[in-house]
Amino acid sequence: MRETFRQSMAYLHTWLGLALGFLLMVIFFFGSLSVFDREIDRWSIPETRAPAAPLPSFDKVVLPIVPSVKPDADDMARAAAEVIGPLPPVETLRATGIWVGSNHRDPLVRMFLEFDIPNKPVDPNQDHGHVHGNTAIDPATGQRLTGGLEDRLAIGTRFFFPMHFMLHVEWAMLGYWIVGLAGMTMLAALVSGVVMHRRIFREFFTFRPEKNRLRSTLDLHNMTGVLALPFLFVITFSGLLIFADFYVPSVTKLMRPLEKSQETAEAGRTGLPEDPAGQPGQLASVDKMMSDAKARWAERGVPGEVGFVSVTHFGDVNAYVTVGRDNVDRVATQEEIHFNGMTGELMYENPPTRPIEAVKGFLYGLHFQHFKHWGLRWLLFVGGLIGCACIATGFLFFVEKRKRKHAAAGSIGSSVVDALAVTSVTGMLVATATMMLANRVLPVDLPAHDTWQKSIFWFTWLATLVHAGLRSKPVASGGASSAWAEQCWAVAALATMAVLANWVTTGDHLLKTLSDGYWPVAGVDIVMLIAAAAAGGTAYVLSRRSQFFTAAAREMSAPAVGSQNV
Amino acid sequence: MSDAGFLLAALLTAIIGMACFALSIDTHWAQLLGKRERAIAHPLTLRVGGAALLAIAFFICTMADPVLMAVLVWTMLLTMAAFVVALAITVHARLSAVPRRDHRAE
Amino acid sequence: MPLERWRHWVALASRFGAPIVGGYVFTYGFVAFAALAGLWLGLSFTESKTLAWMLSLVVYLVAILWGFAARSVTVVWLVLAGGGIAMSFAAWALSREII
Repeated sequence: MRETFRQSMAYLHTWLGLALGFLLMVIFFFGSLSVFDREIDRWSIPETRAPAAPLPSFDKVVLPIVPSVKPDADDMARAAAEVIGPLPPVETLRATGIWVGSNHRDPLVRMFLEFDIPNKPVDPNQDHGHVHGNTAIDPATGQRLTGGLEDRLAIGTRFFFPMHFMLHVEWAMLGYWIVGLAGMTMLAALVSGVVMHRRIFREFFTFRPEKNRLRSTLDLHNMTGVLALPFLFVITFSGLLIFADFYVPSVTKLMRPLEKSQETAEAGRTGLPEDPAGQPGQLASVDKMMSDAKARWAERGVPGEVGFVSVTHFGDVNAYVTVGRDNVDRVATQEEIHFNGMTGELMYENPPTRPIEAVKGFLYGLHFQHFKHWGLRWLLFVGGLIGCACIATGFLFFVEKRKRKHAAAGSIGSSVVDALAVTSVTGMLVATATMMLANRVLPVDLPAHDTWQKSIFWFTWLATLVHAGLRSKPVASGGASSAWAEQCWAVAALATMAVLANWVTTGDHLLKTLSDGYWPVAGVDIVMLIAAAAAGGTAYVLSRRSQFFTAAAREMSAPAVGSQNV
Repeated sequence: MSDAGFLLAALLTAIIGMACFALSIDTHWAQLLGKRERAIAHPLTLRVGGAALLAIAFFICTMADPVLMAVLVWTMLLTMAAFVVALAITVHARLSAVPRRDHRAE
Repeated sequence: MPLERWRHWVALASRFGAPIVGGYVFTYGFVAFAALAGLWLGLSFTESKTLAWMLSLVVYLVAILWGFAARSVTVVWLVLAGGGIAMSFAAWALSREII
């Protein structure tokens, strides 16, 4: 639409980037934190700070717990809105599907249950509905988590991780859609950014902090974007792919009869029953199936532990059991063996993956990161943070480039963008650090302990927006907002306090966790201390620079008299 | 050698490879080595050498991990290596620029 | 608001809407159509759908880039939304033929 292709791409990059960049910042930051979600869980629920445990006996530990788990109230409410007629009372619902799994980073065994509901769905394209319940088993005791631990907020997996893919905007699943649009924007921004970059190879390694601020900000934006380009593209692409069936549901919406018949045909090939028979059946020993599966993997040259077990059509004669390998040693997930639930005989073993599914498995795997490779895990964490740096410097460049022009024209555009950038960069850090601190400081017997932590997070974030707005006035006249430095100081203080609070409330200080080799907690503490140091350093540089500029401005405004007096 | 050792070796190889790429760019050559003649270090030679080193880094990665995992590790290591080189160039430029700046300030 | 301003905002919304909304409609139709085409080419339906979704991200990306680069917004709307609706309809009808 502009004169040249490059100019069109610059237009797209600037304005789409501005519109969705704030959200991209949030998505990338909480995605980076989610790389260590289980570790943050341990930090936020100290009672669960234990070494990772393998799956316990299914027959002796898991099965007795099943009847005690009821569907989640929120999920009942969701289902009630999607089906015709009132749902049966919770007590009468029986579990018809079980999934238990653990991994090398989790001291708890996670358990998800599915309950069939008899109601017909409102949307005729949908299959009959389910509601879900979940719990966690403490392998040390073989019991469900007790002492209200089930309801405690696991900040990593239950708050930061959902923030990453749906921003906690549940209404009409809007959060998922926004994240999807932001993800597509990221892809478009990466491609258009490469197109508009004039000297992509010549300036590959170029960062010139001594040049003017506009130039050095652009250098940093280009450098982070270009050097991390493969990571940024693939991580965004794979993230979008995970939700692609949700974002673009046209196959189900337009071709449901065909899809249904294909599913039946594919189920027929595997021999796994698609539907329950309607007759009650007693499950055979699942422990036996687990050891069978392990023996088969060892035979095939891929010895390993069981990562998950699921039972489909539980309680029915058509029940079958799927045993999956804990794929700690590879990116993609493979190896599932299905057993007849009544006889324990092998029913079907997933064949070697075909190319298309293998590519998908690799992309999913690199995004979910279930593998055991701490070096790679840290590299991906840093990669995500580089993405944040790229987005943040994009804002800084936008403001820096326009603020003088806006100041001359009397526009507040750049000061608004600057305030939003402050909120989405340092404000987000302030809110995160405050939440971590609140997690350690709030008494655990406080009613609605989890809601308190979440509310503190949101209100702190809102407060940083207000603060940024109040402080951004100088930007409108071509100056710099002091909110950046002030919020950096806040991050440094809060993150340090969170580490100290962890020490005071649990006794797990760094020397102890490091000498015990308990890395989940030591790692979270170390990252927070590094963040505090980085924020403090940034704040120091920023305030020194602003003092320098204020002094320079004073000198310039009163040249003759001032310089003689000083 | 342990897996960590292989990864460290791969990172170092990648850094040297990226440094070769940086030196094949005239601006950086001048920044780092001043007016010194290129002699045998022709840009093309450096680029081929750099590419070869990055390939060797990948080979080292495959010694620690299965191929698909190694692809990921290698990609991330390349990014980190490039950052290390860029940082080194920046720091070098800053250090060598300091006297001149002080002079100007006076 | 004066008419001029309105025109400006409508044009701007269309400028952004054509690649984003139009591109989505195109992608929506593309996924259904490609899943069907894959089946016809001998892939299993699961594979065919997976491939369609992988390609859909590239298709949407290219649609957005082209939508911003193209000279005429009207053409963008026609090609993307029109193409998407055509593919959707074709997939809908054909899928009921071959079942």
